[in-house]
Amino acid sequence: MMTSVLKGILKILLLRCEEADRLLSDETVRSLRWWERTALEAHVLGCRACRRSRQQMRILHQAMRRYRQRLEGEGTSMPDSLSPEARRRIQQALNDSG
Amino acid sequence: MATVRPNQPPASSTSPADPQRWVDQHGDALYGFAVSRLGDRALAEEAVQETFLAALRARDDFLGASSERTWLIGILKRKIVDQIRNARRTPPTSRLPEADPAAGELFERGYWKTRPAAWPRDPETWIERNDFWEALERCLARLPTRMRDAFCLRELDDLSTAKICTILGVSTDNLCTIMYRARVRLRVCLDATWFGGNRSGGR
Repeated sequence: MMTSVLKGILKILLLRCEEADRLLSDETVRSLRWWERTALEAHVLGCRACRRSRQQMRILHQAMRRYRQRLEGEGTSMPDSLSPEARRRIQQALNDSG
Repeated sequence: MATVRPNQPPASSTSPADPQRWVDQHGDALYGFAVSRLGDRALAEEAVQETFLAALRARDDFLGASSERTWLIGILKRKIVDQIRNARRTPPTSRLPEADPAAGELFERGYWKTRPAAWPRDPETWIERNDFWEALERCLARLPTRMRDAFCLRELDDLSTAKICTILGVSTDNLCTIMYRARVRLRVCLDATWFGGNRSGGR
């Protein structure tokens, strides 16, 4: 029966990119267990591909934060617009309820 | 039914809660947000209309502490969460499909088939580009519904893991899987439509 320590050590030694990539995402949803954290850091240290992937995830996160700010900011022109008909319809509904 | 509230912070160019100008000032922003969340123009229009009507009923509650836009987006977000919670487009399940094709194609025997592209660290290359935001919205709209819901509840609404799991009716493990698949697809999509062929100044 494997102890948690043995399992952890195996994890550190055997972690590959696919699992590392998954952990990079998981750590934003749940806390990683000690062996996951250590395995991930060790792997990323030596893997340029995974460092690039992590960078992509960070940029995506940054973009989403910025996207939220844009949506809530005044005077930003957004790509998607209400059609003139929808605009009229909604204005009418507002007027009717006023 | 104008009311005067003491200690109201001075408004900008319009007085607080000015419904007559809502459609002009906020219609497009709310609509763009709704489309990226719901993936459907008709549903988005409906959500915007419902938001304005709800805001109209609650306009006396708008105390001007935040901007009008923030307040309206807050109402819209609640409408969207309600819709996600009620629609439950797929029944709550503990089992997800075994593999996602998008993720499966990137790895061979556990390793990256191709090294991921080095996206530019400097946000200046995308932050003021309208075509970047178009690309992002399009990539979001292309996500399967549940992936988009989960990803946006987290990244746009900042809801906790527990809250998202409740709304979607999934376990934490499932949410991890859904979030990862969403991120894989979004990165692949943005790579293809923006970063890949378009380093700064490409378009």
